[in-house]
Amino acid sequence: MSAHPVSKWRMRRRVMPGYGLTLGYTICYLSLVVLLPVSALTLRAANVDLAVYLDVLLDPRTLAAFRLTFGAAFIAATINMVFGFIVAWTLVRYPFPGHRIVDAMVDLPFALPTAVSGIALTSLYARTGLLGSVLTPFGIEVAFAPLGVVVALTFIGLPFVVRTLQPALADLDPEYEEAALSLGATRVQVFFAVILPALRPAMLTGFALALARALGEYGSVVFISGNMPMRTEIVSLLIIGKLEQFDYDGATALAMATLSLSFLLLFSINLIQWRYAAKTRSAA
Amino acid sequence: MSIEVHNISKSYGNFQALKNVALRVESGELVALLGPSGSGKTTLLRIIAGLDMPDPNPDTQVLLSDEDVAGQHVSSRQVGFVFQHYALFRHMTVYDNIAFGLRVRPRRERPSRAAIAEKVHRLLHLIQLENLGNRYPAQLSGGQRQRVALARALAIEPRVLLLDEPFGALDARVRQDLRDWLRRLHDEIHITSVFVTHDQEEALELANRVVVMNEGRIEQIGTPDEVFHHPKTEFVMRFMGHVNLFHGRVESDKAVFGPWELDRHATGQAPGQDARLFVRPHEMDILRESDGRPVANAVVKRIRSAGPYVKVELDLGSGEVLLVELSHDRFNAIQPKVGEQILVGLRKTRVFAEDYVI
Repeated sequence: MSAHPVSKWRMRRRVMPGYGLTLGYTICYLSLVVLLPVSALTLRAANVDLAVYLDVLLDPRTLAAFRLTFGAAFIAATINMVFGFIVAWTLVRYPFPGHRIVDAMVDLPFALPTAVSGIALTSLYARTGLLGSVLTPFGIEVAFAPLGVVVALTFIGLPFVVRTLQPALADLDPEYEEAALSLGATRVQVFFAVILPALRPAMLTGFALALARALGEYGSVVFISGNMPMRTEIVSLLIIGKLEQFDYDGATALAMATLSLSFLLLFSINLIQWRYAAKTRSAA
Repeated sequence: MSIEVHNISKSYGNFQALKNVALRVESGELVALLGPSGSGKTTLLRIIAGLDMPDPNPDTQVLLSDEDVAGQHVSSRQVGFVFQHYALFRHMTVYDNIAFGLRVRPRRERPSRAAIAEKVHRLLHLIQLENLGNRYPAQLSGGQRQRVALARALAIEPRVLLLDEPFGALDARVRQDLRDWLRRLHDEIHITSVFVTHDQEEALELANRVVVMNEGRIEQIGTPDEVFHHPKTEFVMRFMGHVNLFHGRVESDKAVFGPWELDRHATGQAPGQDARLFVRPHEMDILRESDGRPVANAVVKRIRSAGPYVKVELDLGSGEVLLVELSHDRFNAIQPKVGEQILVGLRKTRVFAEDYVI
């Protein structure tokens, strides 16, 4: 019961010390690392003429690049959600011999410089490569084709799904499965009606992370895609191309469009998460 | 529907959770499995449900209404199982939770949508949550969640109802309410039920019969009166509530425990052995002068008069603290004071031979 209303804010004692310090640091750090570059881009983008935007963004080459970037990222994230789930499930539920080595392998796409992954994938899937020589006779072209972009993005996105699902799976109390079984459900019903919905938030998070990573990927894709305009060119490459031609306005317009689209995508995924969490998360 | 198990053993590595247990629960009974943690009570319940498998043994039997279900999977045993932490499906509404067991049935056996709705509403009425069908479990209180879990288990019309510490996670007040409610529910629907608890009061109050377990064995099976008033073993005696313990010796015609001498025949013990005397706090009395029965001198150490009884702690001079429970009337008639010298008498005693097994 402070006599000075002004000091009320400061009077609120917390158990953990350092609230002001850590909050200040967090805001300062985020501003420097995230907010500053983003706002610089936004400011720069505000100075670009609308005509430039229309010109750049309606270019068929640009549209093709956007389709490829977002489409391939979406497909790759979806593939990762399914197969990453299986990997996480196996690692958590069946501690087989050598399971630590496999667990460590999941992180490899994280650890490798993306250029290295790109070269490795390209040599593997090129027409003369180990897998490429098997696939080419069937008319399946991976390297220097849109499929290659999907392969590269799947490769780099896997750890995100596995690493978000693992703790969620480990925390899943076997009681839920036992309850469902005692009510007469089959194994398949337990999986689809009980386990999968319980993991939905973690799966969505993993999907969002893998998607975000895939949208921003550059290094591995430029090697495997062949960078053919209209066919295997991703947006990041277009931006680099514009910069190399000193077309800063065009590059900014492309960057701004990518930023907005990515933000919109991640925001809607988060929105789904929030609505789901508000309903089901216990207050306790 | 009766439950019967024979020759049930279960070990986890070197730890033997159950040692050759046999039990029969009659149709319509409400039985408590009572014991400390690690006594094997939950393991026994899970084996009856089929959630755990007993150690392989050709003589092992699990019978539900005299049909051997030992080889059956939990999903085909038709048992209702209620978990301590409810295990409600968080992403489903209360309605969907209760309907779950009906909806997962094979198409041929599945009731129609209308039949499911009717049944769920009947169960919601039974658990007094008619208006909360659209809520999610997170939006309910602990007691409400446990009732939903019970309705969900009852929806499949189980042959038996098995409850694992059903009130363990609730606070005292809700626990009491839910206990009374479950008792009334059982009187209404008479489903054969077994519940696990470590709370002797809960077991004595709720169950028709109590199975007291300790270290993987059944110590005693009996009505609440039997296990409370006629405990067969020292463990049961101790587990049913606070006891005062005296070491002594049984002689040819009497048994001597410090200041008290008892008739040997009344103790039921063979002469010439060490023995222990157990007296419950409410089976002792404090007096100003001897009424002819054996009494001991003691000093009043502490008096706690809050609650239905007055608890008086006494020092027998040897440093041992004795707990005596008196009615408020009796306490007011005597009015002992802290530090005062007083006499202690026994109203009821139980003697067990000294157990040398350590």
